[in-house]
Amino acid sequence: MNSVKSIVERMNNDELIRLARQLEVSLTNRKVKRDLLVETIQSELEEHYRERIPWKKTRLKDPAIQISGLTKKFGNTIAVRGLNLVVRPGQIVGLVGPNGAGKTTTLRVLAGIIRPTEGSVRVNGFDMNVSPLKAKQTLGYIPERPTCYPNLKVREYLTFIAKIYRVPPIDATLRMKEYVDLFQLNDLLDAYIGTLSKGNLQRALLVGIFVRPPPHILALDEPIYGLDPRGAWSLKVLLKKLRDEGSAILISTHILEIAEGLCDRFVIMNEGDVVGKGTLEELLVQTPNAHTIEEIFLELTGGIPGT
Amino acid sequence: MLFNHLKRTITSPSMLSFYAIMLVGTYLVSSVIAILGSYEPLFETVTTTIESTIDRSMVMSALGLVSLMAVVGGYLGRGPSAELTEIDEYIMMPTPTMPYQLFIPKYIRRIFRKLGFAFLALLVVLPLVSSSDIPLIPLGVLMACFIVFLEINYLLGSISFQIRSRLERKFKTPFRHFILLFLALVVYIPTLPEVTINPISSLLIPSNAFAYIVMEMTGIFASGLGPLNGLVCLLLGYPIAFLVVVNLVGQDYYERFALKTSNGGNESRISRMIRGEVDFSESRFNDPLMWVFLKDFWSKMRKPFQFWKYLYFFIGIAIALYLNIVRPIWLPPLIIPPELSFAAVPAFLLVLILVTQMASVSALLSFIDEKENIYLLKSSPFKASDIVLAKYFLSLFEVTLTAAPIVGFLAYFMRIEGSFYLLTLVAPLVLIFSATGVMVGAYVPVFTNEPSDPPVPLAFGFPAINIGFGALLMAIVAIYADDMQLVQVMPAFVVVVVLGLLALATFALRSYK
Repeated sequence: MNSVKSIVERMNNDELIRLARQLEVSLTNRKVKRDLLVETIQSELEEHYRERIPWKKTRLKDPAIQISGLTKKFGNTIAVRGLNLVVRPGQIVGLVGPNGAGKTTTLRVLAGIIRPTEGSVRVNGFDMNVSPLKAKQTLGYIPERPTCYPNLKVREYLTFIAKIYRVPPIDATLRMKEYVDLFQLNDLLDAYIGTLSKGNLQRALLVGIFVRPPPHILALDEPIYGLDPRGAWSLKVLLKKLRDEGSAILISTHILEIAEGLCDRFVIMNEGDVVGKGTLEELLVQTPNAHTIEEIFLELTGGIPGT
Repeated sequence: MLFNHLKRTITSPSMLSFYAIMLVGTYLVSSVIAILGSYEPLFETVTTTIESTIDRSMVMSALGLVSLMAVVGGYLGRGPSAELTEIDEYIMMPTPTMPYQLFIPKYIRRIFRKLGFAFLALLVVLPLVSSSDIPLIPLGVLMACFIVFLEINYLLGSISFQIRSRLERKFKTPFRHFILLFLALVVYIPTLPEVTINPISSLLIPSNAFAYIVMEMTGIFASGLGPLNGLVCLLLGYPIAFLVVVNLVGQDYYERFALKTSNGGNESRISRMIRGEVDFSESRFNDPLMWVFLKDFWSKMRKPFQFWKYLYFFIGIAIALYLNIVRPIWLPPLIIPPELSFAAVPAFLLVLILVTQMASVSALLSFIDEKENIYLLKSSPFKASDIVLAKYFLSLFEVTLTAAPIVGFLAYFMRIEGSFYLLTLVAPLVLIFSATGVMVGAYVPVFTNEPSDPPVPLAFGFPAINIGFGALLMAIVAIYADDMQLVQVMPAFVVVVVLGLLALATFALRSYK
């Protein structure tokens, strides 16, 4: 409850009034003192959350992501061949590979954008082919190239996403404020998405994911792309926090420093095949000539080039 | 989003100025054309002329052919997934929403855009309509019916696309494609004279209902029963077709779009070429202008449509030459009645302008087809003028390919006094319209962050500007008709206009966001 109180204290006047309206706080006076309004809202929120804990703590099914025998063909080209992958709650798994390895295709199948040619994908226990709505309900996806509707304002986009995922309005307002602060998007809330830089767009998309209540199942395709060092740092800290709270995260990247610092396990792909998987220690055992994650990667994806 | 779009438009002066050019310019030009010729007598006699040339069943069959093409096009094409964008893929497809929930808003947006276009089109033809004394409300109703008919065809195409997708999932045998024959027969058989002879069965399918409305409202082959029956059938057909599509739309809708983005190999090849990662040592040309020209030429050649365009050119030119040289008696040209001869020249010129305008759309696409690569092209070590010139020369080539066969047919079918000399106006029209297309296309990234999606005022401003230049050209011809100065004034006018437009395009390229 303390975190909720501090979010309310950080809200500007317009946000406070919006939240007061959502809580049906009487605003009959022409003027109201900010401190008084904050106090009223806080007590209303205490009442609102008396019955249940904020951001209802549900637990993910184990495994949260289960990809079995996934093969995806585009015509005669095989993009992914026989991929088996499991991400359990409380894990960050790195999907690592060179360009064209099949990472993005894997994440698109996982997000329910395209269907697998063979095999199955289960998200939080739901088969993506059989119950796509239930499977997508807990999944957050960030694409490789961040893009969004240019004629929406950031605030409109975030509200829109909250509505699609059926986040209660009060929860959505509080969570939006929390993550807008974290990703420093305050000044851009009323900007059109079409005018945002790539980094700011990436932040807006991330806030769109975190507007939903945890625990999350995240499929992030190059999530650090375009973020400045502070944004990247905030995201890494946040992902670790989410993992510790029980979220399951699959990150596709070819930036090995990020993978090494963030991921518990790795799946290394090359030309559609899985060429290595396990923890860093297990991969070091599999590749005796390698001493770092970079050398493991090079060894498994065509050999370490001579100098 | 539509509201925000509108808000952004009315608060940005440059966009407003393009809207102003589009609306005021087109209205004025249309008024000038209306003054140049009185079209009322032309429309008075058109009914009898058409009734003596064709029969009722031909109208039904012709409109049935439009529906047939829609069904075949939908089956072979991308169906409703053509409306999806990459943003939908990244934002909406992974969300817990059903495909039909994405289809419906996309479709509503499409309808809003169509209505916008229809309104503008009505505004543009307003002076011509009033000059020919056509009542405005029936014309509006007819236009609305035309849109509904086109939309039903779009939905028929979408149904055929969904049927194909579902069959593909269940059957691998190539015999499944026989369904297309069945669908084509379902759409086309009811338009045959044997069926349409019965007034009740003739209204069963939308193309017949629309044909019935057109005939009743224009008085051509009118039965005298009024258009209401057809109107009811057409308006009933539309929600039925819409609801069928909504019920059929499924994951295949996403899949088809996603396949397109998965096979985007061409773009990267083009990007590599622009970056200079292509071995040009084999090429005899050592000039950036030629590189851009060749890049565009070959990337166009990789599209299947381009093959059909060349085929159309060669077959069209062959037929046009045959008609003009042999003049077969079994296909006589249109005979213009003497009482219409005064309106024939302006009408001929108007057709010439419209034909060239339609052919010059590829010039507009020369920059738009670059999509995001336009920024890559701009950052390449080429002069902006070289890029613009390369686009212009290829556009000239493309527009000529499209216009040449049509002009050949026009020369044969619309023989009026001096038509041979009037046809030479195609050359200046092509030169100017191609330059306008390049200029307007170059301005797209100035106004929007989506270089593949031209804003409405630009898309509509293109024909508006062209009709303006067309009218100016006609005025020059009229003023200097009996003066040898025409051979000096006309080329000077064309050179100044083309260079001016290309200079504007270069300026646009230098001012991208």
